[in-house]
Amino acid sequence: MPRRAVSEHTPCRMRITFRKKDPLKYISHLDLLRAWERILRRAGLPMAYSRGFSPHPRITIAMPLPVGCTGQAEVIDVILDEPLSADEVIASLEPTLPRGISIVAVEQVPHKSPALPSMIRQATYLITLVGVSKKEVEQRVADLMHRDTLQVEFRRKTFDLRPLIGSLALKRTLPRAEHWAHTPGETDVPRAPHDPREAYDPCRYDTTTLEAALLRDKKGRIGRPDVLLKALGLSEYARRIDRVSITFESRQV
Amino acid sequence: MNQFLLDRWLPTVGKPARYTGHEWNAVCKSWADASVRMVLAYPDTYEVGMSNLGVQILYDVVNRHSDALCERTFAPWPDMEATMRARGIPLYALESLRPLSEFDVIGFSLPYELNLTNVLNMLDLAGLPVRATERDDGAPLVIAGGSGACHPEPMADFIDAFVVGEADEAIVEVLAAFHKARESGADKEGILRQLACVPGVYVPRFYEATYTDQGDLKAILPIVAEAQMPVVKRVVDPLPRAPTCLIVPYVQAVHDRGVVEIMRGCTQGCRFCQAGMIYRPLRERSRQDVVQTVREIARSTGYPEIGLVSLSSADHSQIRDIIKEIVTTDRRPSISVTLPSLRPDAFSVKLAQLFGSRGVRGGIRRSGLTFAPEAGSQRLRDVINKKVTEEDVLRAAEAAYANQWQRIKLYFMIGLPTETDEDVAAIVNLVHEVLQIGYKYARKKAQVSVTVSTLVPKPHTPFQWHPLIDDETLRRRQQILKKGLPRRNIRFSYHDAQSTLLEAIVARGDRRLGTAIERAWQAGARFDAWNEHLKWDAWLEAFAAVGIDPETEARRERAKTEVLPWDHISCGISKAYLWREFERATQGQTTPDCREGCTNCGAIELLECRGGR
Repeated sequence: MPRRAVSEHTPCRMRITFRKKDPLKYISHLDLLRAWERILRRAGLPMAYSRGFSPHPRITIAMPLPVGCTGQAEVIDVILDEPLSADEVIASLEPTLPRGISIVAVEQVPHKSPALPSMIRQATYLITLVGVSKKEVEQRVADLMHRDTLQVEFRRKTFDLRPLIGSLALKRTLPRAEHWAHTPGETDVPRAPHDPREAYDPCRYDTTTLEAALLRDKKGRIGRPDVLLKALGLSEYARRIDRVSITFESRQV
Repeated sequence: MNQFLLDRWLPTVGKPARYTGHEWNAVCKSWADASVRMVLAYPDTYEVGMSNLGVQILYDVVNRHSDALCERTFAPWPDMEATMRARGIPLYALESLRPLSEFDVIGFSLPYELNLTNVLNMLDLAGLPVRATERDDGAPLVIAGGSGACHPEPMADFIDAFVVGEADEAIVEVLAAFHKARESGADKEGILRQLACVPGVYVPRFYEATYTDQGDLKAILPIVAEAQMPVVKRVVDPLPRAPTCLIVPYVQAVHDRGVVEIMRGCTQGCRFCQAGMIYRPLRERSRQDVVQTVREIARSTGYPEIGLVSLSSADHSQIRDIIKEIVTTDRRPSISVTLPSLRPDAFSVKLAQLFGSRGVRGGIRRSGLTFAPEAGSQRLRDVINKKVTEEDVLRAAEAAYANQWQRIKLYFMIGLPTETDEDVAAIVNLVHEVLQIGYKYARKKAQVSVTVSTLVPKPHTPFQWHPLIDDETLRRRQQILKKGLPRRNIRFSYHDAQSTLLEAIVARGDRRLGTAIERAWQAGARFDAWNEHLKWDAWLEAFAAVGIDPETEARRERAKTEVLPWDHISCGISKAYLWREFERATQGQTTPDCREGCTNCGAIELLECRGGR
């Protein structure tokens, strides 16, 4: 258990790498921040709060994950009022994690280190496409990669996506089995007015996986997988977007 | 339901996390091990439903039983509804993703008149007939509770059984009776007969409504031996253990905090207030119980803020000690406390002073302090029995502004019995006086938000005989407010006349209203409480089709001798008491707080009956 006495220790910054998995993939960035505050409070960790009328916990998530995407190595920094070891933090957190969040690693980083979002260099995504032929995907990727510029629109702003694409290629591996897992115990056919389940049976379609490395430029713009898919004209075929890693300046977390 | 299908379509709808469940403290029980499977259905959005304490209480109560299982479902927003209909996705429960049609019991909460069309829509999305008599033995049993069950007639065609009053204990008895009847091989009729024997359960098909030649309601009488007459609402005493493992939504709920019900019932006796009448008598939770529950909720949910809720939280006999104990001893992590709507009087001033010091975490949250004087003039406050003086309001405002609150919210009503234009003008004066005090402390930053709603006379209140204010007078009085109020630093809002009229009709309608509700729903009415969704034309056509004139229905004064469509449902308060209160109201006589002495409404007998059972 964390110590309870209020002490005059210097604050300590803990960096937590975690997975955001299927059950939580529809949770928005702000909802996830709120969920983390509650996880940390349940864990009884001595969180530092901002001062003022409505104090907020001093936590920072490195990079928002678009709604609907999973992440294998998401990163959050938490400032604590007193120093704790990584093991103590993990032990406190484990029982309070909801289904869909799991800890990959915890480490203490220098309190004065630069803010996480400013250190992002690139993020790598695996995108599973269903219902479109491999040939078609190959063609579109090739077309896109041959271009020098690629004007796209996002949140009413137009910008060039091309320089933000570090690499884009088809990957030969099959999607992981959990993608197709149904609810445990679910074997009955739902008594719906008509059951369109068959129409979406993944086995009946071509399945392709794209690997995309999207960069952050000097102006702080970051390539988004949903914007990339729109540019490829493949949005409607995307069944899983998984951010497998975020690369930071100076080292990979 | 199948996750793959959801993954295909959820990314195309707004706020998809409303439809995925898996929140912290949600209970996913084994389907196979449960002998009775129930789904709580809330006829409004996820964010509204998850703020409802009743949902959390019943979820906790049912899931505590090892052989029962309780899941949740909410009304899908129109974009999700369109997707579900287009893609053949049936309404499903959040825990197991199973379609509602696979459950044994669907339990609707009926919190408000303006979401009844959502009940029909949810049944339809589940692939079930909306009319109770058209659902056969294989369909889930559809029950309903909540404050709407005190006046069940408008929904009598659609609901199989109502649980009247507090369901904390009754829900378990209903599920047990259901299970026993089904095990004995009973058909739906047989099951309903068993349920009708559970105290507080009203099965509308076992009662017949008769009408006079003029079409007035003559009587509602039981037609089978099992049917109770009257159906007396259930009460619990003492209050059972409050739920502490509250579900913590990811999507921000309307009330995004933990809650402890610190008491049930209210002793103020405001004559317009249905909750104040139907939740009688008063039962308090002890200080130790409240404080311990707050700590357990904080620990099990991680909420930084916990609401001490009831109809009038400042009236709890130990409220000061409770708040003191929480904010002084729980410092790490600190817990902030919120109180809903404070009474504008001397005691609340003390509360505000005690916990209003600047920048203290673990105090009462300072985002807006709400007071409800309800009427502008003393005469009219006497009529509605709101025992608050102008001096109280001004002193409360003084204390609030002096303690750094910059915004005060004030609630008023118009359309009250005996009301004149002068009474409405008095609202304007009072608001300006409050703002003057605000200027003294907060200078130009001082703000007052004023919400003026229209009185909708409700069943089981002294105003149940009173007409809804006529349109012309309403508009004139809203104009008085609009002209007098919208200056700098005052925010003024009032209720939409159409939704008020609809609410007034549904609030006091009889069984014949069911057909109109069904027609309005068929014509696309949903989320009637949300102004942008209210399809007034659909309602007008529906009323016309069944021969209801909305104007007379809502704005007709009921006679003392008239049979009211809720006379066969007893909330413990005698009709004679309500009529006496109505007469005292029109004479401007106040009735003291129940704590000063029993006013003999009859509710206390509910506890005595309970002891004898």
